[in-house]
Amino acid sequence: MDASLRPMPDLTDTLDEVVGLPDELITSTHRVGHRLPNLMVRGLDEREVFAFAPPLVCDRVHWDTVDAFDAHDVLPALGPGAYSRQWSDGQHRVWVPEGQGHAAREVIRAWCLEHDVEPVNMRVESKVTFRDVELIPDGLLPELVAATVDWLYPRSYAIRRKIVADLELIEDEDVRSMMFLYVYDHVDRYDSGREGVNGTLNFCAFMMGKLRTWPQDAARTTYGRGVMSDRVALMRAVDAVAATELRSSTEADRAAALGTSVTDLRRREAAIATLSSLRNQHPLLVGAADSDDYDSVEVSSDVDVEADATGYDHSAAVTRAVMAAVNDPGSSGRRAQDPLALAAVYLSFWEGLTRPQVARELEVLPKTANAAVSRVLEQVKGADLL
Amino acid sequence: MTQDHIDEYAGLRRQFEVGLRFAPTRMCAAAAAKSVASVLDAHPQVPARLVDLSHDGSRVLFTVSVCLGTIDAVKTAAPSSRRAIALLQELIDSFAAYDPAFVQLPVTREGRRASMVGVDLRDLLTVG
Repeated sequence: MDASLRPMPDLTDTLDEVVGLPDELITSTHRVGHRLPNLMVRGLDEREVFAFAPPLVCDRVHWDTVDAFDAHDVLPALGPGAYSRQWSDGQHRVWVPEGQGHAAREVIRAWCLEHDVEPVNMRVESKVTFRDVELIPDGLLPELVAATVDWLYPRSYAIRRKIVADLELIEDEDVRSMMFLYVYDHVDRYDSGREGVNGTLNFCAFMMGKLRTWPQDAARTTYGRGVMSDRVALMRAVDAVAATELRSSTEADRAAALGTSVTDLRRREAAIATLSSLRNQHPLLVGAADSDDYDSVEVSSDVDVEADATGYDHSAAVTRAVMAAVNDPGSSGRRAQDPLALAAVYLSFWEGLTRPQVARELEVLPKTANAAVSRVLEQVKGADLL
Repeated sequence: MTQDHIDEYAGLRRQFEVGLRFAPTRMCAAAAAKSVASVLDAHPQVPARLVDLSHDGSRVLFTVSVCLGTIDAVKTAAPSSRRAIALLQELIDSFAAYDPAFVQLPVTREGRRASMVGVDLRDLLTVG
């Protein structure tokens, strides 16, 4: 390890003290909480696993590239003490000793220029926690991450629902593997030494805190920061007005919360609504075909196109003929409409009743029902539909 | 219809309803639903409701039940029944492009199945 990297204090003593703390605690939001358990892997406590990779304080350079790129290629140019680790989001991160972040960024930029790599949105974050998790031996880390996911997954129902609801193409069965990657990504920034009111955090508690913003972060990555930030701010404003003033928020309230004009608020709300309707298409409108494309109508091969076109047309023609027989606006008074004939025909042909059943249903004599049906049938036969 | 089934209506003023199904393609289903709803809104004196929604091939099928009034009103061609027929005519004429057609009402269809297999309608609906 490079001498310029400053290891954080040994945690063993601090964590031992934690064990002695009571199980119940008061959270930062003044609620009663419970201390989360330390995980065990192959008989080792998580503290012992993380002891293989002690936390360091580093500067991090973080960027994206247009083409595929491995950040390990740039490490020799940065000298000893530089680390890189692949995250599942495909972006590139390099950790360098504290205070060297900005110099490292310039080195990386020059290296990219020299090697014809196009960097995007390169930025430096100072004094971040980093663990070189490659130092953890024997596949202990994947097992620890799996144990963490086993513990977190059943306790994060609302978060999982939000991920599925917010992100198109993500189904329930995808979330567990996504959660594994999310936890695996965040292992290197686990700061087990930070002291709070309730002592230090163990890994489950640390990840539970990170998971709270996971759906929001994932949606921002997918759909863009502006729209998602507006959505979060609007929801907060709506909740705040509902909670404090017991009424629904007005446009003026929401515009004030966003610090913008009502006109701009409407534009932003329209953008959010458009995004929402794109993601939540009505399945009926998509129809039986497997296409999500609104601009084309695809008919699957098992649909009988001729029957599809003519069957409905014939039913509609019969209906028009029946209506023409029972409704004659040219006549005056009660003779213009014949509801009894319509009811008798409907019961006979669409409900499938016999004539005596029709008469009983309509509480008329059978001959009256018979005459009503016959009146209509004569005209419908004249239309050459039967 | 069996005597048992009629007895279920004892003491009620029975209404007579007909089902009218529209079959727009999925591309114009939303427009069809909105325009049918606007016509129904314009005739508040005629009871009508959505009773079925499904799809078949490229068509979205939705069925509206229009009430012709009580059995007595139907028999005597009372104004309420004649207004209902006028509404049916308007729906059929205005939305000819969506192939409006009479269909059996879904609740009645379940009732018929129940009477055929000799079980109570409520049991059938619970099982189904």
